Amino acid sequence: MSRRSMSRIIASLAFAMAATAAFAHAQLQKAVPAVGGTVTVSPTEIRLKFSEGVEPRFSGITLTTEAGVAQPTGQPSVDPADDSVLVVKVGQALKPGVYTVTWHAVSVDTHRTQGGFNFTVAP
Amino acid sequence: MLSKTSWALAGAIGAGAAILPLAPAFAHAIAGNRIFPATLGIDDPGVGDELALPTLTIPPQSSDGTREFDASFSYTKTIVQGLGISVSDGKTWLNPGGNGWGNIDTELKYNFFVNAPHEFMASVGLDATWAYTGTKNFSDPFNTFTPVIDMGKGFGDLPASLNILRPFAVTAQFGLSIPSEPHTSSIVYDDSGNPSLDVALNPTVFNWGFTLQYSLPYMNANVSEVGGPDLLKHLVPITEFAFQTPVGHVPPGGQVTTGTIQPGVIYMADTWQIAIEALVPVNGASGKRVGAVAELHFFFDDIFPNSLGKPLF
Repeated sequence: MSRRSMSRIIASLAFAMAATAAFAHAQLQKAVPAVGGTVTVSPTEIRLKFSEGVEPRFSGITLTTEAGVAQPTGQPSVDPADDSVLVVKVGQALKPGVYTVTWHAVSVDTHRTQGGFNFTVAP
Repeated sequence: MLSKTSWALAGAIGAGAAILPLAPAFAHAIAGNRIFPATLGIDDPGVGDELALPTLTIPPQSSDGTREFDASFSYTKTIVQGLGISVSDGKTWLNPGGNGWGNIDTELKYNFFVNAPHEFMASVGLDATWAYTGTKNFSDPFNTFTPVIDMGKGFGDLPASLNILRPFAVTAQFGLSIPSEPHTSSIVYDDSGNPSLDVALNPTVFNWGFTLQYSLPYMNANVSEVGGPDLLKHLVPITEFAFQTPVGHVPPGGQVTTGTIQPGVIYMADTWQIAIEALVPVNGASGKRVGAVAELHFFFDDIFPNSLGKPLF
């Protein structure tokens, strides 16, 4: 294979990659409350921003205390303006403490990812 | 007109067709919260539809002063979920010494174990390098078969008190390369034209290596938000260790472990990654001076999720 041929193949793949970049595993880019962060006011919702659009029917978020007690949350949905943002309402005001968010997301091309993180509600 | 049974069947097929595209698909090398990147010195423990092109290598300079440059590719196609076959080949340029292709290499690999909570996965494979598929003098005149096991373990299951260590992961690979011919014979002629029989031993080699990697994407998603430029959220600093130890049919004086230590960094995008690593020889038999390797890697399961990127069956 000549170097010119290899360059053409790479250029073609780069084009394909750019043209289809909307399809991939949904990876968490940002969260509110922040991953590992501290808030002073109980959040009313949890927002997870992914690298790709997600399918809310096959995605989910659970919220538990440090002791593992589940906290009530609403049904997951996506932000109407951005289908890469998964949102759940927090069902009640959170007392000060450490909370764990556990999520799983199925991207619009059906790839599944999962993760979890803590945040703290300060007194 | 369709009967009730036919309508029910058509409905079931239609429902199935509607649901199937939403059945979660897995690919990459994923165990729970962990995504293991494709690595250069050893293979990662996953099986997916992917293409490494090109892999460009400047090996550590050999003791005789010959300079070498390699360009190679590797394509993996999944047959069923977790089972894939890969084809690899590459060209070598020597100065002095000309250039030529190596033998074609294939590997059948099966991801047989994934433990999501503990971010552990393991695969087994059988690699075969096929004789007479490369350029003479740049390829061996015999097949080589290598049973391989690959493993990966992320440390996301450590307690929160050790948060700083949770982005760490290790992967490892062990393989035994067994030549189909224990020795290769050829007739050589001296300066006077007198023939003699030259017998070269083809050693059985234990290939082993591991990587230590620290995933900033993992940190950003699971431990604490990574500040600064977005670039940082995609980086995986890594050091690979790749060794070869002859264990059988070893020529006198040849029972020396060779290898490289490969510090570098991987940039993980959504559908591709790029990696660059130094090649530091571990001893004089492994070369002199530091080499380098770089690779562009495409994840076809993400780029072409409905065609090239999904299993054949």
